[in-house]
Parts: sequence; structure tokens; C-alpha cells
Amino acid sequence: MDKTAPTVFVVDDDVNVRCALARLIRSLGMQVETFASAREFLRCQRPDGPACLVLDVRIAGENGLIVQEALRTAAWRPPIIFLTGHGTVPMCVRAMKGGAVDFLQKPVDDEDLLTAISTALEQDYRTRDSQRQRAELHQRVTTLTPRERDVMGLIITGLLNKEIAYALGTSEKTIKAHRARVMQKMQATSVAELVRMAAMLETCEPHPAQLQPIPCAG
Amino acid sequence: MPKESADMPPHLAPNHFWEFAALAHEIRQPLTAILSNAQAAWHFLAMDTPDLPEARAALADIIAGARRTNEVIRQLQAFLTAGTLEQTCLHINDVIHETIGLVRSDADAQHVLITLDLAADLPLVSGDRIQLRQVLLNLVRNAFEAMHQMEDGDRTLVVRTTSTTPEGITVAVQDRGLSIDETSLARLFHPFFTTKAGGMGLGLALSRSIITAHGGWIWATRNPDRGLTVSFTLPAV
Repeated sequence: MDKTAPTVFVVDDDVNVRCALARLIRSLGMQVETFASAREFLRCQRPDGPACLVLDVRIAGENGLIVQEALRTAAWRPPIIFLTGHGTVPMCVRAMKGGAVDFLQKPVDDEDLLTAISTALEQDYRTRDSQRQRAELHQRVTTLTPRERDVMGLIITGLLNKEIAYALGTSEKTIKAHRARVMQKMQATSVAELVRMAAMLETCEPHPAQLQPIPCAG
Repeated sequence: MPKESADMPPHLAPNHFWEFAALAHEIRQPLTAILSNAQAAWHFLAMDTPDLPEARAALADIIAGARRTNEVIRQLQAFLTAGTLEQTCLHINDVIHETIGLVRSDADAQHVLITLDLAADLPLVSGDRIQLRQVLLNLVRNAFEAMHQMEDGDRTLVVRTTSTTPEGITVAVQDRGLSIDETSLARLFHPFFTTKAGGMGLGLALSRSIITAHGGWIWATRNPDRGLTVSFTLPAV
């Protein structure tokens, strides 16, 4: 299996539906893996390439929407497409508010499924890309000395070197040297870029290291 | 089941609405498989080099799916028409032996130990042999299913008959499977209630219809240690 190609994960407790959906997704030229239960899916490894999840909302014994909740704090959060044989409007709204890509009725049409999968994979690709960038930036920050970190914090507020020097109780010359090293270590070519990096580091999305492995209930 | 009463059409009684929703789901599942297989076959055949093995596999599954949909409808018909009986006088122990004979190979394959604790000198009962066998098959198969995840060597099924007063008999099918919760126990005999993946949930509802039509009662109790015992009574002739 090509590791960087996208993967579609299908979770449905009905073996015939699972098999048919997998066959359809293969016929559309994509890699697919199937699971009979959310629990089994949650145990699998994150693939290297972009991924998305096609999930029946009525998974026997477990409510599909609860799975959506569990995935929210997991280390791996693929975009979800819900399938249902009997969705109610409130269920659909809850799913969409929870961040599902789409909520499709069974029997599902190939074009509708393909559109939803394409959207989902695109979303995952962008998420993974920004996660990778953030991890890279975190790595660069760890190479800064505490003093350099202080200086960086003040550069991005727009202070001039002499103002930074005054704030930190040191000379302008020292600050200039610190500034140069900060820009070099962070690989920023302008203050504006440094500000963007700082913003990215502080987004609401928790750092991957802070996310938990998914709890397996029972 | 969700309780959004705003969605319930006013002309349907509350119970039946959810039964119809469940029935729609049961028919939509095989239809989903059929549609996806058909569209997959279409795409495989439209490729520059058509993938014939995949297309053939898809068609085979479509045929199976169509048969399965028919089976769903057949089960539903059986459920709706239960109660028309061909009555004869029966020894219930004989019917039990016949049933066990039918499941013997499954029991061996799944390493289920079956113990029969059948009272001698039971009174005759009046009943439809085929329908009563269907009830017993349902109870025994449910028991197998319940014990499916148990360790080998721990799967025991007991079928017990006793005579009761007033004149009648009681049959009990006892398993040592996973215990079920209060909510499930309360809904066990409801149509379309199932805890099984891929199950339709009509077996016990149908069994109840049959036993009721025979003038008996059917109920389930959780065993003190583990598992379930489903029992039914039949009046003596």
C-alpha cells in the first residue's frame, strides 16, 4: 500500500454494507480500510497520508456521535462523513455542529460519497500540513535560549531594539545580536513573518504532544 | 431510540412509528449494499482495463443482497401472520430433541455444551409443531450468539422442562453468556429490538406471538451469576 496516498476508513457493523462501500471506494481509485466497530477503528494506526472516516451513525452498541466526541481529544482526528439509514434532523444537526464533513442518507449515491470524501481528504491534508508546520516551529523555538525567547516575545510586539534593551535592562548592541540569532534560528526573514509564526504557535489547536491517546472504554 | 416527538406523524401510534423506522432501516441496509456494489461494478467496467473479477464479485453480492432483502420481508410476513396454527397433541420433550438435532453441528463447531434436563411424565400439550420448534430454535440460537464471545469450555446451554400447576409445562433455555442490562431486558421482546450486529430483532417478538397464540407466557430473567434464561409455559391438553 502506498503510504502517502490517501486512505478512506469505513466503519459499519453490517458486513455486506462494509464490503460494498469498500468496493465502491476502490472502484473510485482510493485506498480503503474497513472496521466492524468504532472500537476496532480507534485502535488502528494513523496512516502517513491524508485520511477520512465514513461512519454509520447507528454503530451497534455505540452511538456514532459519541465516537465523534471521543475523537475530538484524540491524537488523530480524521474528518468524518456520517452515513445513516434513518437519520433525524436533530441528529444531523448535532453531527454537523460537531464538525462532520457531511451527513448522507443510505442508500448512498457514488457521486455524493465521492464529493464528501474529496472534501474530507482535502481538509485532512490541510490540517496535517498545518500540524506539521506547527511542530516544525515548536522545534525551532526549543533551540532558542531563554533570553532569546524573551527578545522574540518583545520583537513581535513591535518594540524597537533600544526599547527592548531598556525593558530587559541591557544594551542595544546585545539586543541586536539576540535579534539576529532569533531571526536566524526561527528562519524568519522579516518581523511580519516572525509575528505569523508566533500566532501559529499560539492557536487554540493543542499541540500534538498534548493530545491524549484515545481511551478504550472496556 | 431518539425521542424527538416533533418528528412523529400524528396518525401513527407512538410504538409503531419506531417500528416502521427500524423496518425502513432493515430494508435500506441491503439496498445500500446493492446500490454501492452496482455503482462499483459500473466503475470497474468503465476503467481503461475493466476489472472483471471485481465486477463479478460485485454482481454476486448484488444477487445475495436481493435475496436478503426478500428474506427481511419474509420474516416480517411471518411475524405479522403468526397465530394461525396447525394444532396437534405433542410431547414437548420430543420437539426439544428435534430442535437440538437441528443445531447439533453448530453446537459442536462453536464448542457449546448442551445439557438437557427434561422431566419425565410431562402432560401432552396442544400445539403447532413447526412453530414451537421455531421458538426453540430462536431461543437456542440466541443463546449460542450470547456465548459467542465467551471462553471455550465456558459455553454451556441448559434446556429444562418441568410440569407446573395449573396443568401445564414450562420450558427454560438457560445460557451463560454476557449479561444484558436492565433497559435491554425490558425491551427484549419488542419487534426490531436487537443487540446483534446485523440482527433484525424479530426473533423474540415472533416467539412471543407464537407462545401467546398457544395460550402460554414467555419471559426472560437474568441468571444470578451470568447469562439469561428465557422461559415459556404451555397449557396441558
